Formats: sequence, C-alpha cells, structure tokens
Amino acid sequence: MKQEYHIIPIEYDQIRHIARKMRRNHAILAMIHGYLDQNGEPVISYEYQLEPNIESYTIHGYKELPSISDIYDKAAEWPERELNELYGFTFKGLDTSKRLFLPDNMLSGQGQIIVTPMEELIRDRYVDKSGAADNAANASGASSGVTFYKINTEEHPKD
Amino acid sequence: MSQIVPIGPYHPSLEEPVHARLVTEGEMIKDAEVFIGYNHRGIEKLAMSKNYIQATTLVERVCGICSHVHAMTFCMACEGISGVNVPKKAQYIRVVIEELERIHSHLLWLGVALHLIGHDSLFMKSWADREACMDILEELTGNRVNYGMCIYGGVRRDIKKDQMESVLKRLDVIEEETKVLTDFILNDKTVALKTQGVGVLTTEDAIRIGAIGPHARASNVPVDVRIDAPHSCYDEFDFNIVTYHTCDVFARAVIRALEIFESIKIIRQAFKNMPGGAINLGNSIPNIAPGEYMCRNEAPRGQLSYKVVSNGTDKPARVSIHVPTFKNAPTVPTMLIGNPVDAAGLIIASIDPCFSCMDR
Repeated sequence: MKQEYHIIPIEYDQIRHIARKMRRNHAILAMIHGYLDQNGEPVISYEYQLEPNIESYTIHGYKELPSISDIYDKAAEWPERELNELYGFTFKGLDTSKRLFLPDNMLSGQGQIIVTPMEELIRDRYVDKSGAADNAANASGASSGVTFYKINTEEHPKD
Repeated sequence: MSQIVPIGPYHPSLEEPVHARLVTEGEMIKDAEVFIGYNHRGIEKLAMSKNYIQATTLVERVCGICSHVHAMTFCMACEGISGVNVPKKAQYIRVVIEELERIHSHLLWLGVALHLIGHDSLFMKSWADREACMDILEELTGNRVNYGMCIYGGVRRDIKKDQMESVLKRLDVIEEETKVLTDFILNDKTVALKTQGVGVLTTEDAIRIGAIGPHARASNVPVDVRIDAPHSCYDEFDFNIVTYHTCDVFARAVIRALEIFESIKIIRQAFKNMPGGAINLGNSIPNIAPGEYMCRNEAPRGQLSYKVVSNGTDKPARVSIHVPTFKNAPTVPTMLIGNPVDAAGLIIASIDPCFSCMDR
C-alpha cells in the first residue's frame, strides 16, 4: 500500500490532546511545518506518521501555540525552535533561550527570517565593514571581495 | 573536576561544521550538547522566489552527496498536489539513480569512518570502490554530482539497453569488491577494537529520540520508508530491511555495508523489468493548482520529507525540507556520554551526518 497524505483541520485545544494520543499509539512525529497562507494567515501543521500514511493536523490563525516538546522530546523541540527562529511562531513552554539555527545576536527579539523580505534583511542587518555604501546590491555580495559583518546597532552605534 | 572540551565548528575530525560541547571528567565524556546552523543558506526562503523548474535545480543543491533524492522527493510532493501520474519507466529510472546514490553514499561514509579509526588502507579501498559507482552515475546522467535527472512529471534522460549492460557489468565488480570490504569490516581487529561497544544508542533511546534510517536500523529498529510507506514503484521490488543488534558504531558500519547489496539487488530487478514508454510529461514550467502535499523518501541517511505548498502560480508558496540528520543529530549527546574524548569525532560521524542538508 502506497503512502498517502491526509489533512485534518483541528482547533487550538486539540493540539496537546492529539500529541498525547499519538505518542500513546507510538506514532512518530515526522515534522511540524509552518507557513503563511495566501491571506497572510499563519498555518501550523503537525505531521504524524501512521504508516503508510501521514496525517497532517492543521491549525490556522495562531502565532502562539502550546509546545508539545514535553510529549515528543527532541522530535518536537527542534522543529518548534526552528519555527520560532525562521517564522516567529512562539510555543508556550518551549525553552528559546538559545538559538538553534541562527547566531545568538541575529534578529534580536524573534527570528522571522523567512517572512522578512530579503531586501529588508540585507539593508537593516548587514553593512560593509569598510563603511562603504550600505545598500542591498553590495550586501547581497554583488560587489566582489566585500566581506560583511553583523552590526548590532544598539551595542555598536554607527559613527 | 569536570572540564568543558569544545569540538568544532571547524575541526579536523569533522567533515562539515558542527559544534559539540563536551563536559568531561578525565578522559570520559559525562555530558554533551550539540549546536547546529553553521551551514544555513536560506534555501527554503530562496525556493519561494523560484519557479518549479528552478526550485528543482535549487533543492538538488541542498546536498552534494544525496542530491538526486532531494530533487526526486520535491518533484514527488509537487506531483502529489496536482495528482499527476508519473510514467512507469520514469519511476524505474528514478529508483535506479536513487539506489546508485545510496551505494556511493554508503561507500563514502565507510571510507570516512575507516579513516577516522586510523585504517587508511581500507579507507582508500572503500573510496576506490566508490569511484566505480560514480563512473556509473556519470555514464547514466552525465554528472558525478547534482545529476539533474529528475524533473516534474518524470526524468530528463532515458537509460538505453547498452548502458544497462555496461552498468550491470560494473555492478558485478562493485558487488565483489564490497564483499571483500564487508569481510574486512566484520573480521578486522583494528575495526573491532575501535568500533565495538563505542557510541551505543540502545533500541529504546533510538525510538524515544526518533532516530531514523540506517542509524535506527543499526539500533535494531526496523524502519525503512521504502517498505513501511512505499512511494514511486518501490512496492514492485523484492529486498530486505537490514538490522543489527549491537547498537554501536560497528553496527552502523555493518548495516551500511550490507545495504549496498540490497541496493544492487534493486537495480538488477529494475533493469530486468524496465517498462517501455515515455520518460516524462514534457518540459514546460508547471502551474500547480493551490494545495499542499508532504512526501517522504528513504534517502541514504534515512527518511527525507518535503512539504510543498502551492498557491496556484508557477512558484511554490512554501517548501519545507526535513532531512534525516535533523532527526539523528539529537541522538549524538546520548551516544557520546560514557565514551572517551578521542572517540567523539567517530561517534559524531557515525550518524553519517550531513550538516549541509540539516541547515539548508
């Protein structure tokens, strides 16, 4: 029997209940995915492996969700930390004191690297160490031989 | 008194950048922490700005070793959204390339592991055998890495009859040489001393932390997407899941050596039963209907999954890549504890990590 993919919409209160049930049934948590839909609404889907299929429990409209890392250990903790850093989702009960992917001082507050436009990331976060033009063309590496360094504007205000 | 020993992110015993912080007492590791993200290239974000043909080329570059499986799984997820039926011949060709990729990846890892335990003669033999596999891939696809075989709806190149004959002859040689290599691994004293009882991950821990692929199978957990949740045409082949019970670095070497024979078995069956017909549905840029799909595949290192969200344009709205190392890396601290510091490099390498894949 070949693998299939089933999407099941759920409500906020069901997230942890389903996680506990899946854990009891020895279902592997394949991944927690997040994205913004066509209306800019946040979507999170919990993908559980019920061989040979994937059941995707999907919730719309919440940027803050309960963590299931206490139920699924690292299998949930790393995806939740990834979503926190790359998309800015927050998970109640998740330890985000350390960064998983990004440097500790990048995008202070919360990382939203995927939802932030590229031009904004480049313009606001990186400047040419030599003090040359702080523009997107340079910062994207278009000019050869230029090395870029992160400038924390609060600790190191520009001269 | 405990001391902190940092390893990496750049270290001679590491093939790719990762940072491990070891808490030691004397020579022994008492606790460990792993830090990732040194290879983060923002590929998922970049994929959202490319059309489906460009995105296929991009995701193939997530990894230099298992590049085909990335492109294949991405295409399968896109095909899943639109409900396209891929021609049977294309499915067979995809499987052949995937299994060849598995053979060269396993031989590469065996070489790295043998080098790390100081057995450079076997390391060179393993990589010499791998060259034969690379030659086959070059003959079939035109490239040694980033094969460019997969496209939405099929494959780019056909495999001709004379190519099949040539590949089968070379596979015979690879099989014979791998038997010699496997015999060495099973019986060599140096290999045994350096790997047996080192970096143990018990079956219970492997299930709890969620290990997958050959790493899990070496802890006696029989998981394999090709059998548990078949995709493409894998349900038409006869092959076995290889498991081993010692749960240590030795088991991980044995598993990878034995899986090469299973892959050779699959390729022979694919060539024997290769169907006729088309190999793709054309080369136009696809406009995929709005929807989402997640597809899984058994990459050389374990389960690889792609989730693709389409908004009806020629560009994906979201590409989420979940690689085996993301699942296997959290097992590293558990394996390190109770081992001497000099084994740390080998234990980290024993999961066959691909940090380029993991960081994306």
